[in-house]
Amino acid sequence: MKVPREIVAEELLISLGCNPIEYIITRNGNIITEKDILRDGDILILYPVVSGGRVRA
Amino acid sequence: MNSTCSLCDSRAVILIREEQIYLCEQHLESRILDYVRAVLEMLASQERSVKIAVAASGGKDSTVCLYVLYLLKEEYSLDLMAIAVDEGIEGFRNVKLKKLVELSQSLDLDINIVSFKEFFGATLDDMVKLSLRKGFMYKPCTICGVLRRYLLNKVARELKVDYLATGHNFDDEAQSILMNILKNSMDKLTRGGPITTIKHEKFVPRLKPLYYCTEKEIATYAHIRHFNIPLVDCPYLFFNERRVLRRWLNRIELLNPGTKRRLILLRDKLSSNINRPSRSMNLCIRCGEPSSQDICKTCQILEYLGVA
Repeated sequence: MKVPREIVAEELLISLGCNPIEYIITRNGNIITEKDILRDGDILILYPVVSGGRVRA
Repeated sequence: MNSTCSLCDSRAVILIREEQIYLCEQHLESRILDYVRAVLEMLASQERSVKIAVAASGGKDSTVCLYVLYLLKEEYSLDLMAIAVDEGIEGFRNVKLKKLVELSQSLDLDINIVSFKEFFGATLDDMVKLSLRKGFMYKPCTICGVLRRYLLNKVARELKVDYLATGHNFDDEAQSILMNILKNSMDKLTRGGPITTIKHEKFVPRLKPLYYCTEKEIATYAHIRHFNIPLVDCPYLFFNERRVLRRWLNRIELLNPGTKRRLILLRDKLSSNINRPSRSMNLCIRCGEPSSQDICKTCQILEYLGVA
């Protein structure tokens, strides 16, 4: 998906239909919070907090 | 740009939305330990070592529960062990239990594994098929939940433990309140809290060490501690009512942080205003296990399924 050069992680999650309460976000292997700013080239993995969620990379 | 911890300058790993604070790995661990300490402080018997068995499933909650109690073992003189139930859910429980056994061994904790197949003569997979053929009066989560609790209580009692600790967390508590409202179950609604109040010689008291911890705090902690909880879902998740409610409640919590806490506070207020007689517990006339009815739910389910 196309996103701006800089975006707050929370905005990205919501645009993907993911509730930030229900996901842990890692950027290049490190956990970040949903208020962190993402940049072009960041590699993200979303880990579901609740069962039944799906890992998204 | 990374968020920094509100209590030190380290990189934050979680935002506690309700309090609008960021925590780093170390301060998240301190918060969880303090929450668990608050529950352990409530235990009446502090004069001798308290024997606790963690009902461990291999999921994040019971794994964190086991690990945190292990960290507090010396501080609270805990005699700690784990009990796991293998319901017989192919591709799910066997995967989760493998990791759990590895963790228990690395912590040098005893783990007792009991299985539905061994005890009831059939796996949950078999029982679900039987229930489907007979009209599906009992859904998979009901069969699993009732039979699991039955076995856990029986094994914990045989092991002479003082408390059976479960991985129930803050989110579970809020969800249970809503579920009980939807079921018009005033009796269950006004019960709850970190320690059960049911008193019966055959019923092992329950303890919820993670009662004050949110699901996200627990999942984040499991991640930073590299527990590598297998990300496999129960195949019967589709039939789980709680899952639907959990998602809905999380959306409300996102829009209005503190909703879950207010639900719990409301329940506590209701409970304190209700003059309730202590819950009576009888013994099942068939199996002799504690039950609120003449024939316990486990015996009713097994009879319906034609098992045992």
